[in-house]
Amino acid sequence: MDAVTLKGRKAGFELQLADWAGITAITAELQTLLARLATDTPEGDVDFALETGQRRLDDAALAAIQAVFDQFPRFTVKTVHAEVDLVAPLFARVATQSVHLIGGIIRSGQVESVEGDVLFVGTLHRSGTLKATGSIFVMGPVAGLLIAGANGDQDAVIAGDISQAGQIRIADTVEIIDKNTYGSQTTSYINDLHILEHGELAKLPQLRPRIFRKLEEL
Amino acid sequence: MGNALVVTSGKGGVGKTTTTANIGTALALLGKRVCLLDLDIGLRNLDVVLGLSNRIIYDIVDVTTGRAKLHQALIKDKRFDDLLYVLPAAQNAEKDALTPEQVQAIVDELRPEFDWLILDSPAGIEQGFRNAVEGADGAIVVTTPEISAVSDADRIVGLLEQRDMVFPPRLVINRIRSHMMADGRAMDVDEITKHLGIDLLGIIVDDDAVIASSNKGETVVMDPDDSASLGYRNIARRLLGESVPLMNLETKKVGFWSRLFHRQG
Repeated sequence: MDAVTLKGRKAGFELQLADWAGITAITAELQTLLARLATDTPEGDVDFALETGQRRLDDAALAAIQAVFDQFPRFTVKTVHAEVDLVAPLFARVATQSVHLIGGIIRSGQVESVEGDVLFVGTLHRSGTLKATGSIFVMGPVAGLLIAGANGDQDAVIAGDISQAGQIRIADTVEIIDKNTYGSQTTSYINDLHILEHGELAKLPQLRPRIFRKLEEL
Repeated sequence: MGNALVVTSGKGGVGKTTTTANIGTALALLGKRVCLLDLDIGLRNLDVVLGLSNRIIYDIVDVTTGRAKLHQALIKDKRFDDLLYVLPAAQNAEKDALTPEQVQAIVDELRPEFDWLILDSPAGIEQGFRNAVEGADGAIVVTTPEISAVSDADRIVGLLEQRDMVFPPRLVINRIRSHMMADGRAMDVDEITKHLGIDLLGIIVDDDAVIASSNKGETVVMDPDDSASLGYRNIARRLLGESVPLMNLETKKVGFWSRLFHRQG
């Protein structure tokens, strides 16, 4: 098996660098391949797309490959692509799809921001803010501001005891909570008329089955 | 090396300066060398409470601008031998005349000579607050049993927790009216302490003698029989590591004969 394979694609030339091969073997084969190409095609500039398979090359490996290309001024690396994802975006994606458990005290003036859904088991003080891009499930005493669907998710809900909260917001809707208006267990959501509505917590599975399934996984 | 504590509250008028003066005096009465630093630039009154206003020559801004040496600006309270000193704030300077680094430098310079440095913070959370907190190892958060004061104290505790202080903030609940707490018209001590989630350092009952003594340029702590004085003395003892139980808030009925023969101050 070759460590470096040249492929002709509609978009241009592609160099497949085998992910099982060491960088020394790859640079050696690349050197030979580019030298032969330089002889076979004496004129014209050629761009190559590098495919590194199931491996993301580090800076040192990329520099070694670039050093080979530098010997052939007519050949350049156009793109480098690997069939792997970076860890940071993956974590971010997982975070937005997870239910985060948040405890402790959110004090006056403090803002706790969460990507995704949040199960809040702490205390939210008056003038404190709990903000989530997803839904908020409240288990502790809440006297401040709750913001669900902070990035505009209209399917987000706020569930739990909001009777003592100062204000709740879901996406672009706002409601100032009059004390003792709501029972201890409420589901707040945006209805089909785009109005913030409050139902019984027991209705959550019908209102938002997807969210309920996610909670079941907890 | 002395400990530096900031007395702060967020809200104005809850008794920061009175607390600073009384805790400082109580510590001095217990034989500790104490320096009180007034950081309320433009609105100084720690000197007034202690009856030392007429002895101010230089202030803290004079020190930071190089017009005076630190020891020239310190005022000794002669009632306590060589134990209690005050560094007054400037009266005619802007609120941002000081920087946190300058306060830190002053505290560091005073630390070897005193057992306790108590910094009286201005109200609010702006520059003056940041100055006061920068120089401190720990904080005493003062509140009264009012929702506005407790809410501001909550904000302050949040800001203090963001800083990496040597000691966690501790709470003093001031101006307690036991009858209002008893009949549920004011938050009680447990409620406030639980809400703020920090250790309780002490409680001070609402007492006319605090205002009366302050008007005379004295601290109430100097009266050993007063109930507010007892609260401050207990706080000082707790700061020194003693285990002192919280004073009983139940209002005692004073009988006629007791009234006649043991007049209270």
